[in-house]
Amino acid sequence: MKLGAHLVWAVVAGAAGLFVLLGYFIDYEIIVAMRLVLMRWAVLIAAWALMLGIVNILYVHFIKVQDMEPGWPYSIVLMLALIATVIFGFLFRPDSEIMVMVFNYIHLPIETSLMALLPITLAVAGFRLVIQKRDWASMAFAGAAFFVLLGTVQWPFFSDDMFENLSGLREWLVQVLASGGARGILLGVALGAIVTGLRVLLAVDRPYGD
Amino acid sequence: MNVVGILVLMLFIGGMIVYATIGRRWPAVFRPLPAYDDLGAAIEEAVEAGERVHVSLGTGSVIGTDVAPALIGLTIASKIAEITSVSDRPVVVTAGDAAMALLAQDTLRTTYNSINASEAYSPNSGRMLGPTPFSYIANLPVLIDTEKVSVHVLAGSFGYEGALAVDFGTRLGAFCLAGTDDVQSQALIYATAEDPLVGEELFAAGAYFNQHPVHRAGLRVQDLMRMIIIGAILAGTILRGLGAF
Amino acid sequence: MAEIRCPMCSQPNPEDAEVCVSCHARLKPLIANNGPSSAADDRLETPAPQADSGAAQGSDWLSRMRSGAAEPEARDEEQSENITPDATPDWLGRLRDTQARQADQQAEQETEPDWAAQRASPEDSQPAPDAQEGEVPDWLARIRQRESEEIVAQPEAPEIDDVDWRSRLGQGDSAGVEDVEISARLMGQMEEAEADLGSESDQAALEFSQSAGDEPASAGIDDRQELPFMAEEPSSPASGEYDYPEEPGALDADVSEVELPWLASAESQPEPSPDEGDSSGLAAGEAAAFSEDLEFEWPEVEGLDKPSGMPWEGGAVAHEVPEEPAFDWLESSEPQQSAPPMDEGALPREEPEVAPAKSAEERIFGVELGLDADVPEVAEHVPPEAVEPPSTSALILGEEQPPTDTGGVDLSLDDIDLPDWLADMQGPAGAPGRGEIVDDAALAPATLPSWLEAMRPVDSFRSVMDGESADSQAVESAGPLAGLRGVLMAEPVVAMPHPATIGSAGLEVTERQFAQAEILQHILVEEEREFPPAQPARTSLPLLRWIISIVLVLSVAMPTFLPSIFFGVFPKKLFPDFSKFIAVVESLPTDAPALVVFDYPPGYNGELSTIAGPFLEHLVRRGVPIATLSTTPTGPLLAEAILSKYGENWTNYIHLGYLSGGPTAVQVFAAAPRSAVPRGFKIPTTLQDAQIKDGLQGERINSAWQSKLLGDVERLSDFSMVAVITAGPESARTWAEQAPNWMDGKPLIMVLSAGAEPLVRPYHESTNPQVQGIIAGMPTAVGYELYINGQTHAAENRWDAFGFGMFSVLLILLVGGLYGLGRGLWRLGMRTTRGGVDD
Repeated sequence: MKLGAHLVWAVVAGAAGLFVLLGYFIDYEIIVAMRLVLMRWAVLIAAWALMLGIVNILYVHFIKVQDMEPGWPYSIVLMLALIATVIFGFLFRPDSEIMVMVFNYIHLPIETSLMALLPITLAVAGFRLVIQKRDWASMAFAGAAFFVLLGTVQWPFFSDDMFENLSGLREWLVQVLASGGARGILLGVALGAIVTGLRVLLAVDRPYGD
Repeated sequence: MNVVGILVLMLFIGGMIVYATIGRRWPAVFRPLPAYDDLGAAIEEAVEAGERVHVSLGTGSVIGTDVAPALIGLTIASKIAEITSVSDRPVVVTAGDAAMALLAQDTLRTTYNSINASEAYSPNSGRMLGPTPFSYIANLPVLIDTEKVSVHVLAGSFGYEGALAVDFGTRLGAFCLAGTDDVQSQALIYATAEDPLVGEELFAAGAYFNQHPVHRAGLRVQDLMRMIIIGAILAGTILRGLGAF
Repeated sequence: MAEIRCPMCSQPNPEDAEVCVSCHARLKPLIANNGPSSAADDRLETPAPQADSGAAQGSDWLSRMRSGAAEPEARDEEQSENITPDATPDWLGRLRDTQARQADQQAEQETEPDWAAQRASPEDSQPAPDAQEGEVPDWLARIRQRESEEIVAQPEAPEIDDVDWRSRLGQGDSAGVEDVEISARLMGQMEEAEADLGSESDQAALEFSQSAGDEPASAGIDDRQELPFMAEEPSSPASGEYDYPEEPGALDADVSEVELPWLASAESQPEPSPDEGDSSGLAAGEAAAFSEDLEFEWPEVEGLDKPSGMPWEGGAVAHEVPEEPAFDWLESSEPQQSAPPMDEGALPREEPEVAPAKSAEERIFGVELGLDADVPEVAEHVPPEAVEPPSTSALILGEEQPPTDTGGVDLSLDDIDLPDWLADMQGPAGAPGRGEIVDDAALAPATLPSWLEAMRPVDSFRSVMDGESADSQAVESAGPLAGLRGVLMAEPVVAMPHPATIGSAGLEVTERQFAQAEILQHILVEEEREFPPAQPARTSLPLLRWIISIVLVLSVAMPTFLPSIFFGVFPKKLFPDFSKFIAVVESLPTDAPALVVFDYPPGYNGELSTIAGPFLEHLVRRGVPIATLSTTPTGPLLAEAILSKYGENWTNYIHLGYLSGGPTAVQVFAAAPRSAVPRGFKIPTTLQDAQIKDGLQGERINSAWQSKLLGDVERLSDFSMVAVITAGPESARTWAEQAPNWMDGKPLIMVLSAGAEPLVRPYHESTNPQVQGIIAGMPTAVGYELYINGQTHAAENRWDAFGFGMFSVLLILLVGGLYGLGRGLWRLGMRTTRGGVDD
């Protein structure tokens, strides 16, 4: 580790974070302007990082095909699809009808289908949860899920009063128990995020390397 | 000028410095987390068996608010890289964001250089699986299967797709430890993962892995601030009940 | 100048030389008490044994010896040749005189004469060359070589030329033709040697060399030496020249004429047993050791083979010891006629009056020291049993057994006229023969004589425990020293390792240790064993997942094909927040666009498009311009997919495009929207003039900000409303925290998924709500559709499927819970029952 380079990067990262952070608390024009400039630079860097990520995907799958690792045919399909999409985008512009069609009939159904796996996964997980994990937390979890589902739909075999009661129970579970617990979790997460960010500002954590 | 904000910021910084200083003399005792204990054993078994450990940094962005759990994921990845440097299959870190993948590469390279194991580093050690969350999840089963992953660590920002990521690892027989900042995802992870991390347990990874004394100090600051917030909530509730405001 | 022939190397040396010039062997033996010459005189004075009348009247060599004894210091060749058989050699007389003196010297036996010590020193001795059987020794070769040469008579007869012939003469009774010849030749030499002996020490040295079994490196018999038996005429030896036959067998005729009484007597004596072939007064080991110490170099005699072995060599060699001592002639004081010249191979005849046979060493020792059987000293060393010396011919020819075929030559030594003193040395008649145990109290114990003891190299090399009998010593059975006694055993002392005797050599292993050792060995074996690659784990069929999947798919798909009659009843009671939301939308002006943010991934499109559809339709139906924005790359595409169903691009809605930077960019957009999104998405190439802003007609349209919909929107607050459609609470929180500061009281509403609604509600239900309206979930979507009664019925169409799906999940959870409960109770019952049985 070169001590000089390490300190330079640490100072740069710390200064940038400090300016952005202080920009939220101090309403001085210079600080606000510096914050906006740094944020725009971050946006630009994130956009170029997206390009590097696409190149990284191509490189990883290229190595996979070159070494004929298991699953290399799928890597060929991925690279061809990526290259074709890039070519179409350069040829027909990203907002052309062709690209919209590619998105509407290929990308959107794929991701929607992956999302459709989630209820099945959660149903299986719930089933195993009530069978394998028979602790109080798991029982509470399963019970809450049951009553929330029960109070969501107006069942034909239930009367309106029953539905109103079940609906009220659902609201209580969601708005009171779940929401309160979620807020507590969010507070803890927020505290952890603050400390994590401060560690980066104080150069204790250096994810940018040395 | 938001004075309260500045004071809170100073309180955080000062508390971390103080706890880091007195931590040697008055070390803190944290409650045991079975998830991290199981993770250590699973990593050892993976190293012995010549299998790979996978760390997922989630689909969060570096410039967004969901970068904090990803930074914790980098801390975990750094620690695991030290352990698995002697393994035939070093750790691999994936992310749904390109900038996060670059940070993962930098972290691994720095870690291997610090332990004189630079030969274990490979540019493919940190990679981006997909630009969108579900495209990232779609590439995950292929990674777990072909790379012979036996330990599946999810430490980052996940949405509903986090449950799918955990389920993919569980179906392939891998040890799954998952933690995220999103509450909804935490609920799904709790139902699907073998060792879920609920709430801020993910942010305690640095302290439990003894990465740095500041990590332990930060955890103690979190506890301090949590107590302050709890007190403030209770006080406000009481005062609201008394009709103060 | 007279020369002394070295007994070891047969090289001539000056007369007065004490040691040989070439090999540094002692030329003049040393005697402790008496001078070197006195010992020789004593020996010479030893009365010679009675010689047979019919024995040889003394060969020329004998005569020479007698004549030479009278002038022991002269050492002249002529004197040695002129020795008459009748003349009593002075040395013989001196031997008699010293008999009495020897009795006084009994106590000084242990004194080691200097000459003996020096002689025993390694530097003075030379290892005798190994004469292999069947090979012509060098000395014999030289003899043959010098046959044709004129032999110059040497005044000094070789002292130790052929000391072996002395022993051979006393050993063995029968010899082959070669033995006879050799014996005759040796006798002649002996006569010369005896005649030329000037000192007792020389004589002793000669005999010591004989007893040691050394073989002269070079035979003393060379072309210049005289071998009376080899000469054609008896007088020929006087000239000092011998006509050596060219062939060894050519001397047979001459030899047959030689009568050597002492040799004949030796023939008549029984052959000693091999074990007793050693010196009678010496232990085998001692003799062997003694012989090893005395490294004499046998003179090389052409035609003569090195004897196969001396009687004292380990005792392994069976030597034939004649019953009669070989040197009976030495014991007689009377001069004897010189034996007629003998051919090679002919053995001298023994005199009948030869004394009983003794071992060669005994006879030699007795002769040297002037001891005979009558002398007490000699008596000590006289073995109780007569030891038959080996055959002379056998010794000469190097054979163990005397040749049976003598070729008509009388090999008997009975006719040899031996001196009286030599006869006396034969021992009394009736002496026990070889193999007979003599129980004679007068016999001295088997100890070494003093002079012999003195000849031992260095006392320090020998342990005090020396003197172990030969029988008690082990015989070496391995290695190059096999067959020898008294040597360090190679096995098991040296060669074979042996466990340490100190301490316990055994390893005590307990059962536990043994078991642990077995475990360790098993582990090591397992480590080395190659295991075949593990077969891939047989994946079990995910039946549970399949069943649940089928149930859910059927529950959701069936309503598509069936009329929706089960869940036909829509929710009667809407959520309380719905009215607020409707109120916000209803209050929106139509001259300002509403900003709708599509912040959800394509995977959530199924739910959010269902919920956001009626909302967007509501806005379009009210005529509120819509500007779409997204912080995800796919947001604009999703917006186009939804809004295209309700309106027209650039007429009812316009896309600002993708706002990169995530939540950070929200602040940027909130502060300066035009700079954050400079261009837009899906900008039409051709537009009607009415659709663009005034003043921009005819210009190229390259930005969404040129449309009439966006009008004079410069800041975020210029929008009439900000609506965020998102599935995650983070995005909602971001807009809820970043946007209100820049909106100047404009409403912020959110369209959320059912899961994000609880987390966003605090922003809506706070004292100063940052979010003015929220809708979430399928029930709200159904109600919204019913409210607007528009063309969108997506929620209504999916209501039954949604209901059945929810019902299926409920059933799954219920069944799982009941199954888990029942199994737990069953296991509890089993555990209780098993515990009761155990009790």
